[in-house]
Amino acid sequence: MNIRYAFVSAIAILLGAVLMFLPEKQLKIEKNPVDLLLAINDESRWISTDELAHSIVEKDPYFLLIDVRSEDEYQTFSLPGSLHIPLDSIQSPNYLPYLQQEGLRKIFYSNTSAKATQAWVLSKRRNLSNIYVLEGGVNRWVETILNPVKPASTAPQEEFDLYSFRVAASQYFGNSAEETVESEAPKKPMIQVSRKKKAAQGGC
Amino acid sequence: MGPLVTQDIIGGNWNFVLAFILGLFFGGVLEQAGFSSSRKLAGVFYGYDFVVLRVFFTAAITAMVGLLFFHYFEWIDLSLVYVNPTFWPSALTGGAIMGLGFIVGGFCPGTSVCAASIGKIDAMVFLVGIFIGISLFGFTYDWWVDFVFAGDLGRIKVYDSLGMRQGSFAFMLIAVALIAFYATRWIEKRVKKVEY
Amino acid sequence: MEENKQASKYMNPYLAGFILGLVLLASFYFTGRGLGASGAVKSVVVTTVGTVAPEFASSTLFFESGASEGESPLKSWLVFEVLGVLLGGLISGAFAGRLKLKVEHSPKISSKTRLIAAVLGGILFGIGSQFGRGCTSGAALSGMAVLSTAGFISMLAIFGTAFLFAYFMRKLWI
Repeated sequence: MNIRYAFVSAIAILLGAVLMFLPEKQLKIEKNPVDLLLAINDESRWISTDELAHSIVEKDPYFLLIDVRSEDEYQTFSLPGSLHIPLDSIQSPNYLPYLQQEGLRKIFYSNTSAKATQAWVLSKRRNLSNIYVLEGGVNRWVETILNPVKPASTAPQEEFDLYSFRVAASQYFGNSAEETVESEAPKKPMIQVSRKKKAAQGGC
Repeated sequence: MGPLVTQDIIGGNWNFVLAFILGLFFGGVLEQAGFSSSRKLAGVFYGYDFVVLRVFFTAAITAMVGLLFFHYFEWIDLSLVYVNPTFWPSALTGGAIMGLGFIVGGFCPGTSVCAASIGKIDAMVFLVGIFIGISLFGFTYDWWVDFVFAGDLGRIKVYDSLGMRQGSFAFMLIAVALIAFYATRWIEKRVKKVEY
Repeated sequence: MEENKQASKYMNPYLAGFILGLVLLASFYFTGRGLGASGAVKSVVVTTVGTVAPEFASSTLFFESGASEGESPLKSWLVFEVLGVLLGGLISGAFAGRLKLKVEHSPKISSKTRLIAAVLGGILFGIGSQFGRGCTSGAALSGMAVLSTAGFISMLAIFGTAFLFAYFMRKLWI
């Protein structure tokens, strides 16, 4: 009796030891840490508020704005046509279809760049591609697009060009934050993406 | 590569057939192990019968080791396997309420179904109790909903929570289980037997 | 001797655990999910409320799926699995000669006490399983197998609390 149990115990310990010394295997969906670190240092993830304003004004269909702030903040003010995915549910499989759309530039934004960058890192770790962060977030959007400051008269011509674009954009977006909320732009672009692989439903 | 159903390798209604077949084995094994007797189940809390601990731990470890090796050989894609999300306040509270239910009622839902099937009236009554309990929860859902969704840690794995490597944690769990198995044998020999 | 004889009628617990583990592994391999039980009762509750009081059901988030048109919540994975458990237990019990209508209880308490305790325990388990997102099999066992933190928290909470209260409930069992 005891020998049998000792034998089975030995097998269990052996299997455990094998598991212990097997090299870690990353889940396929995750990026390896070195690549992730390199990606984080890569500056190409930034999109400036001017670039974004251009895209919106020109009705560029190939981008998706994602608001990662809280529900309250999203309700109070959001950029036109943005989809709301709070930062704490950015990893939820429910939103995966939105983030997986290869053809779209997914632009995360928050009040500053901080939360959006977190969302970007979390998504990058899951090997999602074509993702960006709105530089300066909503704050800079309000400063630069909605309430542009006239450059000093000694400023170079480019700044005046930029300023006149911003003034035009500001009028396009309705000049004030309050009105932007009521803009006609669709709040939640519902894009259905079929996906074959789906994680199993669970629950007891 | 598994899991087969989620990747549509096995489709649609076969999922339900599989559920039924897996249930058959689940029920059969529970009954064979003696989980259809509430006094045998309760033994683990008084030291006269540790069958719950043995079956439960052995099953969890077998499945865990199996999954880890399947994952290593790429027979299964663990990212598609359902991992229950961790909402720690509600998991802790729920566990505590269930623990109290276990010591009062003597069953857990799975074992009560199995016990009811062989004619234990207390198990059938227990099932009615679960029905009432879930209804009560449903009718007062608005009161709890915030609490139930508080403290979301996502689909976090325990070795990440503890800051360990997966393999080290698996080894530790096996070691703990084996120690528990030997310790409970020692205890069982010294506790007065209970006839049931 | 009597004790030994009775115990030997049951399968060796480690062997049973091993087989149960393989069933669980098969469940993960084929369907990508673990085993469960309380979810099936939830389906029954949702269906019942959805049938008896459809308006109330559609106004409450918890019962919503019972009122919506389309597939019945009874057509769920766990319901089929639990039907399997019922039949599996029945077959196993029949082979072992354990089929018998009875209330099993400690000699120190009456059948009535046992039944009241069983209902109370069931109610607690029903409520707890909704908080814990699953019961011993769904949250704790399946959760431990996939090494989810929730599984370990549930397992420790269930058995920890049961041990804590074991002393006060000893009359029910020994």
